[in-house]
Amino acid sequence: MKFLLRTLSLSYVRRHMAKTLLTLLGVVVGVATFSAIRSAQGTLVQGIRSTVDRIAGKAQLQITMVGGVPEEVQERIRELPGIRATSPVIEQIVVPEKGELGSLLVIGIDLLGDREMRDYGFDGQDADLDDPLLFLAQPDSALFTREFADRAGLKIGEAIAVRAPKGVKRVTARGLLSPKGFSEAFGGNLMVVDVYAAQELFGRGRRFDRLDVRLDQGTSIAQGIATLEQALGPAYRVETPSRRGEQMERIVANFVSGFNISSGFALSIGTFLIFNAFNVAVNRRRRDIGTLRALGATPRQVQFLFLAEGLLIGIAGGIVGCLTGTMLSQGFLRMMGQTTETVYGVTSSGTVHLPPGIALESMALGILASLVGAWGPALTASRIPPTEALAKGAFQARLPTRVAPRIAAGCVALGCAILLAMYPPLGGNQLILSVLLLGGTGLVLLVGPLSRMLLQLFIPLAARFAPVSGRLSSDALLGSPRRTSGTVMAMAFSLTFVLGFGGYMGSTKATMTRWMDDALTCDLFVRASANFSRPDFLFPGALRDELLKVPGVRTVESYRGVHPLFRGQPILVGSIEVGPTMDRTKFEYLQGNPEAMRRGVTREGMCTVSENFSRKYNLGVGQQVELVTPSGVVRIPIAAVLRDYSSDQGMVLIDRTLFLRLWKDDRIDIFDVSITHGADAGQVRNAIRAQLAGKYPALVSTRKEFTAEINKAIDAFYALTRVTVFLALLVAFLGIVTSLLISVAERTREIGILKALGALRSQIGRSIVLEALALALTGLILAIPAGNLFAAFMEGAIAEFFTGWRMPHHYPWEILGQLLIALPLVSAFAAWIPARQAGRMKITEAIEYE
Amino acid sequence: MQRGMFSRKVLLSVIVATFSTIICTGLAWGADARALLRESENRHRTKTQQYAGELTVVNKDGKVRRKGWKSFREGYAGDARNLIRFTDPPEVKGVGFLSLAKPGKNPDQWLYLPSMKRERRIATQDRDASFVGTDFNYEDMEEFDHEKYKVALQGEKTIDGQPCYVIVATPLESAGKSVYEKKVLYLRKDILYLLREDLYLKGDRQPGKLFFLSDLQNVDGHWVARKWEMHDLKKGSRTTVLLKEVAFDRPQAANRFTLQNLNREGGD
Repeated sequence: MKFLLRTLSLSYVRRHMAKTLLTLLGVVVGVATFSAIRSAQGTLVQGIRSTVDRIAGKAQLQITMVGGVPEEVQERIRELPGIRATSPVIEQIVVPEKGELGSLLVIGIDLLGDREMRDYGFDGQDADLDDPLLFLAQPDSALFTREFADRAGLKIGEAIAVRAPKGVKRVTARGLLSPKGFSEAFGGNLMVVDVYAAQELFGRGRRFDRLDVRLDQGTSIAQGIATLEQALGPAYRVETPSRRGEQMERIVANFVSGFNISSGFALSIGTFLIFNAFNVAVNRRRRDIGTLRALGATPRQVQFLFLAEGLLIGIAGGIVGCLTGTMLSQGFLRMMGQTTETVYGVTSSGTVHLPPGIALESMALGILASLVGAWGPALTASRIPPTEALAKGAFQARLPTRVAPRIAAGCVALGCAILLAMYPPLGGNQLILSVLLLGGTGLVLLVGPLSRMLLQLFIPLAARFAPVSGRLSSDALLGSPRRTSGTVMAMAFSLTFVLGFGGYMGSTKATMTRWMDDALTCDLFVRASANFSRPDFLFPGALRDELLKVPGVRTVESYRGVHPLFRGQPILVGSIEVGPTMDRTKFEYLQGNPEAMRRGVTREGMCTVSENFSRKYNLGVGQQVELVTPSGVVRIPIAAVLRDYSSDQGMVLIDRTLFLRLWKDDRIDIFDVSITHGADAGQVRNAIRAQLAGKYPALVSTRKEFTAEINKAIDAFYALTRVTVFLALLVAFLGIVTSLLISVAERTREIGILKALGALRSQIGRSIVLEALALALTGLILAIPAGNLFAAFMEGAIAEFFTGWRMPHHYPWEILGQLLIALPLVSAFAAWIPARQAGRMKITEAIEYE
Repeated sequence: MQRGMFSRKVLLSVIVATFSTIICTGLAWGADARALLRESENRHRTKTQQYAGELTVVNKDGKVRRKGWKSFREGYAGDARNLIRFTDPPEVKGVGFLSLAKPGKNPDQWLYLPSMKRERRIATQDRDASFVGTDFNYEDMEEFDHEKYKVALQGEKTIDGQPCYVIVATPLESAGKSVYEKKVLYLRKDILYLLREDLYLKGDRQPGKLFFLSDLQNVDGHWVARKWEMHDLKKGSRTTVLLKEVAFDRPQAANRFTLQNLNREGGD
């Protein structure tokens, strides 16, 4: 085998270096995309957990409560048996004015007693904290890590500007932390401030985000939890830091797991490229195969030879892919981190180092993809009889046998996939995998025969516009059915992916836009925080009265959202003055009606739930939602089920009066302001800004601006998906280039003869461009229905599995339009190198070829 | 046989006598230590005390930080109420510290920060934390109350040329948590005034900190050490407080030792 690899394979590689490199590039892009996404996912999730763990320090338990833990709770638990120490914490993300320094995780702690909890890593006790009294006495005091201070050029006593909710604040470095333990959290981008200064800075009132608890020696975690739960009641969550980390991981799980589909697609497209390249290699080396077989090589040896080549390409592609993936992953992580921060309020930071597990997994998948791609061609090669292999052109033009059963099998597989998606007998990952596997198999089986049919239809059309080049290109395509179907398959798969994801994204956005038009109907939104999920600041409830006094303001509704656990999962509980909100909002009712909702929610203490909540937890009108509130466990009857896209975790909406009664917290996230008839929104906005200036942070947006911001968040959510879509297109583009280069090489002799017979350089060039166009358009035509089916599946079963929403189907016409413009250009560009190569061919050399 | 019996009786008597002597001596010294400390308290007890303090912290690298404060105390030892208000430098002016002793328990302590316009309670767990960056911790800021300690006279020693009683004071569990394993007190024999404390942190066999009181003067008929010095042997730093404008038994404002007064901007 070594001998065969050295002589046959190596000589082929030497002769076709460019094509081999392009094949390799297919594996590289596939593996790189996969490993980059996986390692960025891993780092994101690990970053969340490690930040939680590092910041927790020696804390064994953490107490949280929806809306924050009131200060007095610390006093209540201090003297409980088994409690050694308690320490309040506030966490917040801020951005330095010098944006390039990256987000800073601000930790508010009580420096007086926090050393029981965390090791600050000062050099020798207080050596680095220049003056502890100064630190406490001056509210602008902060500690930074040495690493961050070095990057920011910050010295003790110097100030740095950060964007806080109340505007840009200058904070002074009073001490530096050595890079160990606690200070390594959030990748070292840490700023420690006094917890009471943080309360003021971030509008927490007299509340902390959580209390960290350290237990006495001899007190078990279970005992500690039991003691605290008994003392505090059900409204408080008492959990270990690792459990809290898991909860946060679960919040972003939906988002990160969506990328598994993207990375899976990237690898499958790579597999088709390999399949195509090997198919062509078998075709090209049929004479070598014939000679080998004539000299006594067994079919199995021939098969192993090609598989060994596949293995080597897989290993080489895997290694280079992993290295490239590592470079890409930091960018992917940044995009993922920004999205989780914006959409979920969950933060993570870190540097991606390709973990050995993911490197091995990616390599193994790269090798597997290569072997799967090489398997069919290797089997075909092993079955070539020596006589046929040595006969020129006999194999090349051989059509795949048994087309009808193949079409039938493809139709059955695709039909089963459609039926399964429409009437799912199972759910979750099993359903997704089954449908994708059956649909993919159907597509693989059908693409070959269908592409041939389409190309046969394309010939007369091409011949009409370009009699010579059209015929030449169609001969080239139909003369090499395996190469053609391999390229079309890769193209069709990537375009299916593009149209499917594009359709899904378009559907989500269109649905959200429609919903925002119906639900977000007030004129101005007054917010204290740019973050939708984890507000930086909350307004006092009394501010509503002040806003009502602003000239031009007609009504003000106060929205507050909290995220308690329901059946172990975080959900959104929103509260607003439901009556006035209903007067201006067009809700879409899936169960119940406006009268029942108005009566139930405003007068009878009922709630409404969102469609995804209802579906996820199988609850509807007539049933109750059991919520743990600061007033204890309450069961709230459901008055209506609404179409609502506020949270992918599911939303329960209650009236503000009920919220105040249950949560005893009057703070506000957003004021929905409606202006009087004829008033100018811009002027009212300015008046509100003037009213709040210097007192509260206030982002006052018009309806248009507010919805634009939500759209921006949606775009951020799909930013990485767009990158993977681009990578899929890149792989498909590589497929066309490889295929055309091979086509030109295969037809060297033919091109030489044509040139000898008087064919013009331009005619040959055009034939290659036409070949590229035909491949791309055939792929697109096949991808249109496939992409539509995939989009429908994404909008239905997949969306429901991850979010509980079923999006109405939306065909991605805009993406199709873009593809119809871009594909011919891209194809023509892909054909440029092979066409140039063909045009420059010398007749004598070409005729001598082979 | 009889000789044997006799010898055993003698031996038993000797052992009993020895043990009795040791126990009685111990009890007597314990009783002496308590009596000495009680007498010391009686002699030096004042209704009130006030002074202006000059605080200097020198860290192990020789870096010096200076602060100024005014201190007011009402009561003594187990019933002491103490208010400290920082006066200097301007960045820390107005920071206040209030300590209210509770019989048989740890005192209640608060720190007031003018920038936050609010007080913060010092929890028991924080008693070992440095008091505003000095070598004193919050427990050191309490008045010494011998009732919260098991005390024993260990012997005598000369400190700065003055013969002193050496008393070991071990914190009683029932009197609240202490950060110290024990304190060794050096009480000047002639005036029963404390000249030095060796402070052993929990689990330590060597003193972690040494507290010296010197420059004794008689003011208003009461002895007072005008210079306090706390050495942190682990950190290698030391804190000195120089007492100025010392006055005793001056009437104090009625609400001086309250949270309301602590929270009053600039209020003494």
